[in-house]
Amino acid sequence: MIITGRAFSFIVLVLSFVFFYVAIQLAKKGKAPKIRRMVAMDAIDEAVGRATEEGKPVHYSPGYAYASLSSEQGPQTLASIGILSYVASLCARFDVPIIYNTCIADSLPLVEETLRAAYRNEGKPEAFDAKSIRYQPDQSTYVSAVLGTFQREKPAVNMMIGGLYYECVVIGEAANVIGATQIGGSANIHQMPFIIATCDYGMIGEEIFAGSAYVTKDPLVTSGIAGGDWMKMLLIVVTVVGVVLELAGVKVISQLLGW
Amino acid sequence: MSNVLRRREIILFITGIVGGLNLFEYFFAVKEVAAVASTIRTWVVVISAFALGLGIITAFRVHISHVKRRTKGQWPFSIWLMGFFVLLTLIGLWNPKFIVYDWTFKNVYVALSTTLYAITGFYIFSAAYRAFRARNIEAAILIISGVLILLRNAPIGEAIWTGFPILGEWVLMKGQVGGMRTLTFVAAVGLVAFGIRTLLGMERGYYGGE
Repeated sequence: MIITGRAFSFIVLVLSFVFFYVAIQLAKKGKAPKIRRMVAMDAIDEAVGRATEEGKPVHYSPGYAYASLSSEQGPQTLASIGILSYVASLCARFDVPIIYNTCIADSLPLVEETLRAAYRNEGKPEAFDAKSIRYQPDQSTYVSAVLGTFQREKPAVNMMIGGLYYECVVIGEAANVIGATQIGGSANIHQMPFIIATCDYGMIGEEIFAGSAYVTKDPLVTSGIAGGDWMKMLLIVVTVVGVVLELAGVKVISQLLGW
Repeated sequence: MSNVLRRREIILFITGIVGGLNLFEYFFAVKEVAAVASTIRTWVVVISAFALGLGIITAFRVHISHVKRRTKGQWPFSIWLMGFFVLLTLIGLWNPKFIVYDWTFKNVYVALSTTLYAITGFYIFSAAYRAFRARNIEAAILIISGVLILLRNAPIGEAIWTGFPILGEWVLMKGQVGGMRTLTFVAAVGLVAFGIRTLLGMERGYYGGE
């Protein structure tokens, strides 16, 4: 019944669920697994603090991400909106204006609700300004608008987290010109060199997917990150054992992968 | 009613059912489930179209507010945006092959877009300058690798020494592949973990939850 070639993926998925379950149960018993520190996520508080001191806005952007939530970049945009929720809460708490530029039209209702909820949760629903969400259709228009925003409003902080493309280096360098603290993150490996070159703090690989869970500091939620880390360790072991066995002429692992 | 529909449990229930069905359909060949999953994916297209419409309404609300309040440095551009949007939508609905519709896109938008993309080269140059400062061993390795790739791509590299393209090729095809594949690998596992957290209702940010 299982589709040929997908059995191993299915086993990995089931094991992931098992690891999650175990990690959550440990957390419930007060033995939450330790997760590594994510410097870029920890830097968000410091960056918003800097914006508060300087009396300047925070700029947040999810990148181009094929301008659609339905694209393959959609999960990155959703993960980014999860982090935005935390950033917006901090901004609401410290009365720092937040500017959100995007070209992803179908994410706008979600973003508006996220920001509104963040202000409501901080007890300042009246401080939410829908004008802080700025939509520009398509990539180049969006990049131009961000450059204009930087020149006119000089934000103290620039965060670009999501499915980044060529805008990463353009926005990153423009933010450096105005002296903004930068936090960047993407799972698009072709943009990672630019994140490292332009940003003060970078999230690479899976970190943006873990970010929104990490900032909650809730052991039940962060234990899920540990579950993912255990899965990675298991897969590394499978890879190493597979390489050794292949070199020895034993094809068990490679046959298992194609099962 | 809207408060009931916004309840966390309803959002989680829909996410769980839709995600679970599509996962099942990916792994198991069951015709009935495949039919339901296919129908759900059709709904996604329809819902996305609605979300797009909502997005446009949100954008219009913001720009109408700018015009009403005469926001300094903004409101004339808001009029431009809304005016062009209405004009081009009407023309597009009437006749997408109408010369004004086609001409403005090809000769204004494409030209401006290409120009902006072209200036990326200068930004890459300044980003490279920032990255290529040898502050530690890692940065030094980055510089050496970067210079080797530059000398591989630029004709002058081969003119200086024929070994430069070979070394650059090695960095490009072998030296960096392991690191990049590792990043792809961990990003994929992270994505699976994110999906599981979403299905289990542990990801709260994306629907504006507390």
